[in-house]
Amino acid sequence: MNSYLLAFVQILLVLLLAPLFEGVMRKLVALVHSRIGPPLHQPYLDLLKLLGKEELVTAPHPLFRYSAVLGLAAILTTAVLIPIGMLPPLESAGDILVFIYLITLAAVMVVISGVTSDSPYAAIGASREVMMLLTVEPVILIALISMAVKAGSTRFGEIMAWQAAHAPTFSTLIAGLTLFIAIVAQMARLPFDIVEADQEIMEGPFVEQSGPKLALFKWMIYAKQFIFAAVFISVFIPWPVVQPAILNLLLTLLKMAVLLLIVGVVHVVNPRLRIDQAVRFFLALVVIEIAGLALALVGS
Amino acid sequence: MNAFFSAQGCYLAGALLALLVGGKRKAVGWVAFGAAAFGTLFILTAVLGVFREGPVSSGLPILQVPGLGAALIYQIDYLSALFLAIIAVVSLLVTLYAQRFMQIAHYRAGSLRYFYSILLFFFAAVLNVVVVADLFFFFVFWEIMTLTSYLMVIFRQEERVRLRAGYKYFLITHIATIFLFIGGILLYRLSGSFSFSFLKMAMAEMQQSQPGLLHFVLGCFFLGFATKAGILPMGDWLPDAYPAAPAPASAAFAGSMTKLGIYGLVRVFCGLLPLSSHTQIWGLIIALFGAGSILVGTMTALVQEDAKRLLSFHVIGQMGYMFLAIGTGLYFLRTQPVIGMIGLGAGIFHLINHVSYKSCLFFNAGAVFYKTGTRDINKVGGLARVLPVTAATAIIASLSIAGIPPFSGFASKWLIYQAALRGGFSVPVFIILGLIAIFISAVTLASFVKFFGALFFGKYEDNGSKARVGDVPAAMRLPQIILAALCILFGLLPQLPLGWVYRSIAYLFPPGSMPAAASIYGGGLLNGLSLNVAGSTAAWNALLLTVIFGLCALLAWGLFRAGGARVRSVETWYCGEEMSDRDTRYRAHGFYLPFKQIFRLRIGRYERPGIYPTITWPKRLFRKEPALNRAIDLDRWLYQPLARSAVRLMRRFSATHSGVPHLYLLWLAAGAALALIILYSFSGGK
Amino acid sequence: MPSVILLLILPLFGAVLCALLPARHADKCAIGATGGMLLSLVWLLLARPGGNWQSLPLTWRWLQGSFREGLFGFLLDPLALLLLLVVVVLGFLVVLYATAYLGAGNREHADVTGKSRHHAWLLLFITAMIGVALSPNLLQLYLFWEMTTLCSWALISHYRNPESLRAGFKALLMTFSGGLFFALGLVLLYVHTGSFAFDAHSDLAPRMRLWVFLSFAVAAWAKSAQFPFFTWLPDAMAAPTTVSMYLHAAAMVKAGVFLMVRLALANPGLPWTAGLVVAVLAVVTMLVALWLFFFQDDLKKLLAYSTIAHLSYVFLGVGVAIMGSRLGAYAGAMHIMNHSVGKGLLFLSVGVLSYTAGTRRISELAGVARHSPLAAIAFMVGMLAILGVPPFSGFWSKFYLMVAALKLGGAAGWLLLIPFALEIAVAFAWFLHIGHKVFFGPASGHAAKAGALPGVMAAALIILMLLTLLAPWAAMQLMGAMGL
Repeated sequence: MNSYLLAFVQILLVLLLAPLFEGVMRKLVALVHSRIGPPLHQPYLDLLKLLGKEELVTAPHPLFRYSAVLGLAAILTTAVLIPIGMLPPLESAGDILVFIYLITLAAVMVVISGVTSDSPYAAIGASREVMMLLTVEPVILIALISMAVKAGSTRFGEIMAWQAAHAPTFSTLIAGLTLFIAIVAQMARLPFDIVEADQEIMEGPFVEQSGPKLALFKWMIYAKQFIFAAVFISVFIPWPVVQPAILNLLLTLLKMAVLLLIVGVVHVVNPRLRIDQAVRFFLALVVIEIAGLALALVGS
Repeated sequence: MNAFFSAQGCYLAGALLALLVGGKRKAVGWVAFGAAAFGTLFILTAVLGVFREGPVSSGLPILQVPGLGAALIYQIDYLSALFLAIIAVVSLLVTLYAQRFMQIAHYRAGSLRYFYSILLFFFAAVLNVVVVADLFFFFVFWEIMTLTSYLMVIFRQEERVRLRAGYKYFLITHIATIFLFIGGILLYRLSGSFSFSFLKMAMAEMQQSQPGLLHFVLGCFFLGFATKAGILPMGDWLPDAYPAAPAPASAAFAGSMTKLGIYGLVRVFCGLLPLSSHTQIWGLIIALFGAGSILVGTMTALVQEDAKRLLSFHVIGQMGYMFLAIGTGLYFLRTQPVIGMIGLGAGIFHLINHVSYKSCLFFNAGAVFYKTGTRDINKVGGLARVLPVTAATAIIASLSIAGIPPFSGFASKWLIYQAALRGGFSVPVFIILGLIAIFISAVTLASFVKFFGALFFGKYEDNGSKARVGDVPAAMRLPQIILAALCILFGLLPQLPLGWVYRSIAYLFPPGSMPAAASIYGGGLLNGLSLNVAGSTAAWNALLLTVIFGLCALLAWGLFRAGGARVRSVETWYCGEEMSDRDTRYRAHGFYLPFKQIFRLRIGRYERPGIYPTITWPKRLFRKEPALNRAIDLDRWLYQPLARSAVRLMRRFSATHSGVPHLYLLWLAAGAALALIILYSFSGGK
Repeated sequence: MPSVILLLILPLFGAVLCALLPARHADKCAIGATGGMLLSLVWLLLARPGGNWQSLPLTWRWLQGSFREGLFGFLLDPLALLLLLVVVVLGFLVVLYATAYLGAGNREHADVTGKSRHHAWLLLFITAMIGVALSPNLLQLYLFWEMTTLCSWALISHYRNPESLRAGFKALLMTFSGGLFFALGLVLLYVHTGSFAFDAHSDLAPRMRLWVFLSFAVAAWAKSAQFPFFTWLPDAMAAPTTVSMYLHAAAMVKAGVFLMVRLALANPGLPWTAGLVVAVLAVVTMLVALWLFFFQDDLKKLLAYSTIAHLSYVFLGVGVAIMGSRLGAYAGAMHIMNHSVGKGLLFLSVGVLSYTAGTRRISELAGVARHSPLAAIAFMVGMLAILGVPPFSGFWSKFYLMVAALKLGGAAGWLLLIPFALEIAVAFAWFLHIGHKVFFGPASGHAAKAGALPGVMAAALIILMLLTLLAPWAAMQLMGAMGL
């Protein structure tokens, strides 16, 4: 029962803290731009406002209306599988593969909202989303599998425990670096802000989303950002492990904030890549990762 | 066993009755459905009986072939029973679907009797293939199955493209069957009998005495089965043949025929071959071919724009998953039986899932064809409005084939990944194969997003057919709904099918030699899967996560409604411009263009979309008469000169016929003298 | 016994009647004679004690003298019965078919005068073939053998145009020259053993055994159109389709292979070299015929080359049997029957094309199935039977042949099997291609204007289609009784 409670807590944690991290990042971006920037709680205000706005419906499909609900639900579900400073609450329900595919499910919901909305911009966005999925997913996966090879298990808990107990090796470094780049893409930050690309295709899949739908999608993106940050920190930078758990959680949140700041810097100083450039870039990453995986297999 | 024979009788009687009923579109369809329904009932009785009371056998041979040691013996073990159940259910759904589908004007009323008759014969043959316990009759039914399926491929024989597809199919599979024959006969040389039990002993003996020859034998079997299963490069026939057949037939192929390649593979490589270095080597080969098919088949599917051709390439890809799983299983069966059993089980489990979602998808494509008369996904769109049930089932089946949790495809793919990755910890090549499988799973998703996105969403377009309002008839909806429900059921409760799968495989090995099901998958129908490999566990609890997902969705829905936002219907926004629906449709062709451009085949100036080469056959075999013909033409250089010189010789003799009596007298005298001399010399001077 | 005599007498009697009576009675006479023949065969089968074939052979000797087997007489063992079944059943069907085929309705060769001549010769030929089947020794076999050659000459030249006259003469010349070797073998055999018996080879000295056997083999090669004597058979397609079907697919050419199977089964001790020669030549013939498939535009000629290849299957079986795998001879014997029904069906369906569409050129035909579905189905069934697709006839004997070749083992077995398998695959490809081209797709001009099909021709096709399913069963039963 305890683990179910923990799971519930973790879901709420993701749901409630994710906008805060977005706020931190916006502030940082503004600072780099030499602006004052919005207050830290601005994302909460955005979401609240959007939830009450009128919902415009361009297509009659139920999937168009509820894909946002399902997408957010998929991301929240992953919250029970991942470690945030402590062992994953419901580890017996799924491992890294399940995690990856739940994330994919969320991406599918974005895609479905795009293709159901009847807008050509949304369709282009959906097409790009899928292409990004095709190329980024293997990168994340190989990085995690390299770690799984090291730990001898595909469970987050065991991978995390192994990493905490060992010093970094070449293969874990490669995996960590590539995962970082993949996370930037997953968070839809420049230079990989290709799916939404608001100057080109007007938010892509979200062009026809409005009101509460848009709110949920935004929330989903924040949550995804939060979750990937948590996964990265827990799997690659678990040190130092401090007791009690609550302290460790706070430490992890701090590390996540730092990570997101770095992502923010990357976001600010880079231009947007074209989709084909991104695909090629990630293919190259895959090659490097496979080399890293080979290193992991031979034990370094 | 009697139930099986009764089912057999139902299908055959139905086939003959369909021929007699003839050109009445409705009646002939109902006859076929009735036959299949009764047949299915009997088969399911037999299957339940087997799973409850253990394997049954027909005992005495029904038919004996003199001089060959071949006899028609039936035996239903768990593996057979599993396949019987699959085939029976598919036959039921296919005939139900065909009953309405085949009523469209596209098919001539007069030809329907042949279609249904062939379809039922096909099912009868397929059913026989999986229960026969004698390799010779296995071949016989195998070939009858090939023949009937070929006839369905060329069913609309007026169209050359279907003929070409049928030709390619029949030829390639026939050649593969010759290899099967050779492999079987080589074994028979040692056993003196085609019965499976004798062949098993022969394999064990050959493994000891002639390991090299055994590799050849196994190679023959592999070729034969992989060809039928559509594994590339032998499965090149598949993407042509499937689209050529009518939709119910395609679903029947996807649901039963290609799967028999897997049946044969498991039967031979697990049931007959003893665990040895041979299983390992061939396990690796099977896995490699499987991964190759996954990669090439699915990547090619990505560039297809004909709905059924797209699905056909996915058949290749999905068969690749099964081969990968079974190959991995075979490889590890000897060293790490837990991984071995996970792999084998995952392969068969994936097969069951593939039957449900792929048949469903072929039914979906058929429903679209039924409404709009086209299979080109560029020409239609937004059909979810007129085909809500088809659209919903298509999405479920698509997500299932793409391996999205919690649908069935994910459960089996997850097992395949686990087997490959776990195996890969000790034998790295399997990690690469597993990564291919995982990557391609995303490609599958991409392909199906295109498939259902272009067909069912976007602006409404129906190829000018002015599709009648309302979904396809209930007889076509029901099979889709049942299959989609299976996709969800097996996804949520993977333990249920895995229980059957485990029994069917474990029975092939000596009792007690394989780890128990509970120690592999973890116990409990509702507990989800909990693999336990060498002390380290991995879990996928579909039910639990789905409940959590549901709760999260409830939470999100609560947020969604919390603001009390009003809903208003508006037109799509085109940045303020007025655009027609046609102009703004994002056609299937446009999907993933950059990606497709990166992954295409380029050799010098030769370039193809996708990575799948096509071979064009020469129009004429020989441009001019080859020189060999002149050498073979014995008339020209042997017999005619011979005859001419003979005639010349005769002329010479006839010159003596001068008409002068004196000369004749002279000849007479000379001849008589010669005769006398000869006689004298023979008598020895006496 | 009376049934056997009736079997021999009836067609002969029919032949005489056909020749003497006015032309309008020809059909009735022929049908009556062959129908009676069929009935007497049924009688013969039913009259066997218990009706089973295990109690064969039935023998009857005449002019026994110093001969073990009698100078003349009957030998009705399962092998003889196998050929007898082919000859009698197909003989009846071909006469049935010919009653409609030869007539004014035939679009390719409207023929109003030649019917009684055709029937007379055909019935005479049937008599000769029954004689071949029932012969108890080589001498009597030889006599009937040459009688078939003679009938063949007359029947090939039936249309009396220069082409058919030439073809008939060529066939006569080549098979008769081959027959001379038969006579040579006969003389040598008699001189050395004093017997004409089938199993007399065993009494010969091993060296002599080879030469005597090979001289019989030459006769068989010529008769069964094997390399290098095959050239007469394609030319003989100038004959009416009924003749091509019966003489050059079902019956006459089977005499040669029948002789070889007889000898191989009767003489276990034939030299290995002889087997090798026969088998290698069979493979060569197969490949030569296969190669020539690609250049045929006349459907009948294509079928003729296929016949050549299939006869070499039987030779292959015989060769393999002599080399040590006795199953081969049984397989060859079965193939005699299985091939006869399949190829007979093919010829008759091509005959339907000649009759209804007026052409049998592959380049002029397409999409026949739409307008003549029965011909298409019959051709497809016949083709599948020939190509060895179960459950049709050819598969069973081909499988036996493969087993026999592989059982032989060693390099020889593989060297024979690989070209054999190649032939099966390529022939499959080519025939399927031709079948698709001629029968499916959009209809060509000739095919679209096809006329109606007479009922008797349709009946013959349907019966033969059923026979392609039954023949392998009968063949296996007979060979089982023969000691397989």
